[in-house]
Amino acid sequence: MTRSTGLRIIQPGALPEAAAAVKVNDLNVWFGTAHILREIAVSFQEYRINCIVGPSGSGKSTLIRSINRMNDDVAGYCAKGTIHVDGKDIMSESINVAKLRQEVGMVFQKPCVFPKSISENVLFGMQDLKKLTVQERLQIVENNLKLTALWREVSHRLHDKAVTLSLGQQQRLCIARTLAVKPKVVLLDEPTSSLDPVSSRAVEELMLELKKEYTIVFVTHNIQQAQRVADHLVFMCNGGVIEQGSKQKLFHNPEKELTRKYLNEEYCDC
Amino acid sequence: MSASSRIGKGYVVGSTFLSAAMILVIILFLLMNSWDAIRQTGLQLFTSEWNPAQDKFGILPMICGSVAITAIAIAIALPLGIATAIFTSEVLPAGLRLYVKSLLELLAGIPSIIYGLIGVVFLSVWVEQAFDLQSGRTVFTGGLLLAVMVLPTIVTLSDDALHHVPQKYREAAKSLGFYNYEVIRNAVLPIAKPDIIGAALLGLGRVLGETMAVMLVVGSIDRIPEPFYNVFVPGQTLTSKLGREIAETAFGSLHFSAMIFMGLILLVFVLLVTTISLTYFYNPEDRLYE
Amino acid sequence: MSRELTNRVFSTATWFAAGLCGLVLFFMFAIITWNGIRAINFEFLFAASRNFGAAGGIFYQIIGSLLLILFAALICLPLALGTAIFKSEYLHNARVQKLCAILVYGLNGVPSVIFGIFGLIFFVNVLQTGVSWFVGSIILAIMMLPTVVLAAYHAINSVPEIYRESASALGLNRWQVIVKVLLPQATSGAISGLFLGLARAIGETAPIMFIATAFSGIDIPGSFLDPVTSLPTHILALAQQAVDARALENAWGASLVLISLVTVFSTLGLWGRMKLKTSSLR
Ligand SMILES: Nc1ncnc2c1ncn2[C@@H]1O[C@H](COP(=O)(O)OP(=O)(O)OP(=O)(O)O)[C@@H](O)[C@H]1O
Ligand SMILES: [Mg+2]
Repeated sequence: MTRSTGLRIIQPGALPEAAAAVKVNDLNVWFGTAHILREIAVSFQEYRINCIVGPSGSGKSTLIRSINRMNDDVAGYCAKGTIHVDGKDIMSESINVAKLRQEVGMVFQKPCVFPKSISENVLFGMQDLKKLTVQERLQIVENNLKLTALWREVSHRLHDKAVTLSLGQQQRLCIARTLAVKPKVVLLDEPTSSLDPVSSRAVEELMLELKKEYTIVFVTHNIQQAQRVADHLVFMCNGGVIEQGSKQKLFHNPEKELTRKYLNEEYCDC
Repeated sequence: MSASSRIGKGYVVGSTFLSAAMILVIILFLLMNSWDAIRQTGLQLFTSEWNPAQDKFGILPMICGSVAITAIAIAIALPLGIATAIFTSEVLPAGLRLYVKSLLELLAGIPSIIYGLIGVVFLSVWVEQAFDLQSGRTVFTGGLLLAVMVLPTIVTLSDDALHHVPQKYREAAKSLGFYNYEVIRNAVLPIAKPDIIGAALLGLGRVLGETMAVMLVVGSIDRIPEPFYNVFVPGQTLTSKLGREIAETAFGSLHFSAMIFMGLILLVFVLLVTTISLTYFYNPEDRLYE
Repeated sequence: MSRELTNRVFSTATWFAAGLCGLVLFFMFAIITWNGIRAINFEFLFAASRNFGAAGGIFYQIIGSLLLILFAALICLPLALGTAIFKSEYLHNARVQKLCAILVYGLNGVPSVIFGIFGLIFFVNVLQTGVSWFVGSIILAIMMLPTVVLAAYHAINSVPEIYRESASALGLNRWQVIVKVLLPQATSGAISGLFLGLARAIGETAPIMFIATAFSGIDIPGSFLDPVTSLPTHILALAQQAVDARALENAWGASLVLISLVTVFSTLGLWGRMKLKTSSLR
């Protein structure tokens, strides 16, 4: 399908058809000899916020970094199993990793803006930028900054260095940069952990907005946050998925004792 | 203050003064000894004929030679060095990198006279045969030899520059769907650029001041080539001229003074380049390579 | 060109550059070792040179080189330590500190031939010392001063403030603190820097060739004001008679010996620097 350069306007009644589901099957990951992920089988649904929670070191980052193959270059990384994005097996040798990453974008824990201007940062990941006119570029910058609720704050200083923004603004800029590439799936690895509560709320609102168009996979340590935004919840512990399901089910009716304890923030020994 | 304290302080102040004054003393002596030539020959110094017997001291051929050799050496060593640094820093596994780096440091320490020997025995012969010349001792040979000589320095400094770029920028760029070369071109190189420029300038300063290797292969003819861009003829640089001729000139003569003037010009050039290069480094003190 | 293709081309190009670079540098190494090893034997190392270097060994050249840098080290070390201590312990005015750094490190950029010329003017002609190995040592000491000062300065700076404070709290005055606490630390740093400096100094030709060395008929100098012979100037002289196969063979032998000495010094220096780094992290 062809995609326009600007923000897609969602027709009332018609469901957009861009986002894709992610299915992970029997995934095992090793770093060297350490077995980090064990037999992971999860699915992340389209147009939902899929939230991964779990204690530190349980392998959440490793899992979502496997979805866009960011682990490929890590020394000692070895993975077995299948991951399907939009029906395609992305673990196969023949996949073009760069193209995959355009479809599956990622936002990191700490905002990482490039030492360039705000607008250059938004456009940073865009391909064939040379073919676009200045007007078109500006349009893209505006659309994506509006989408991430930054436009009002920075529209008057688009040519300032991006590092002059506050951390929360930088993180939203990073999200805008990721969205400009027009991915189908957006992976967010603890995007609010270096932000203050107000900025965190802004990012949460943003996610709720984004799920209309994208599949979102979201890692968080903050249980309240998961309760606020998640549709689908995955609880990981010690390299395995303990339980997954809808938010209602996991919070109110968990099958496992461990899940109940963790989500109630009681002491739990994984 | 006790006696030992006073003596101690005297010692440290004295040695600092000596160390700091040294470069000024060197400049002062060069200036004093080239004064005769500056006063008596004046602007004639910047003409193109050098003939001590007729009191003609034009140093233009030597300046041209130095510039030409430096340009050739940098034009070869810089692209090759940066590409190799990209390889050692971005492609090579971290475990191997350490060995390669130590090897490069050792190579960077090979005395220049040995490069000269290799130039005389191999490189000049090859150049002679490859380009069918009367003599292989040419400006080009000198440039090529110096390119090989600064290569380890440029590679290891550029490698450091690339390696100091935090990993997060690479990850961020990769996650946007960049190919490896786009990650390097768009994210890594722009951030490493000041340090790489610093490395290039440092290499340039080295090439400009190098004496022994050049002296043995450059051919030592004090003439500007015809046409000036013909590098396959013998030439002369400031350094090779000094190395060959200064011991044969009488102290105090106009000839000697003109030679010292060349030394002064060389020193000014090199100090200019190294000062600029230091300002490019983020932290010059950490980056002072022997 | 598609992006994928560009990527391929680019990665091939870096491999190619690295390969070329590696090949050139390997070639250097191979030539020197191969030619050098064939020239070296017991007699070569321990006999005097004959027939203008084309026959015999390089014993006095090795002695001469070692003598030059030994005294260079003895001159350089106290000067560098003093400078480093003053810089880190007494000098607190940022502007003066900057000026001092520029002046001292500026020396690092001075081309080696300039040191030779300076020695020629100042010692040989103004002070009328004549060609003397001791003058060569002084000039080499000046040349490596910045390297050693820098290393010593870093070593002193890495001594935690708490040591200075607890030593002063025991009633030691400033100079005693320096001698008892800082100097031991600074000396090890300075010595690792010294080795790096020596590795460069021993291979230098241009600074000493007008002022400290003579070519033939020299053995161990009888006084401070005599010339010596040295490895680099010996190689220079042999390289200039490049048509004589025997002379060339000896030149390669001398080169390998020289490189081995350089490697020993720089390995000691790098090792010391690395050790210092890890111990200051602890
Ligand atoms: N590059 C690596 N090499 C070796 N082990 C690694 C590597 N990266 C992660 N690990 C290990 O994998 C395990 C899971 O790490 P991961 O970063 O996925 O945890 P996480 O759930 O994201 O934790 P956190 O919530 O603290 O971010 C940890 O035990 C970690 O030590
Ligand atoms: Mg994590």
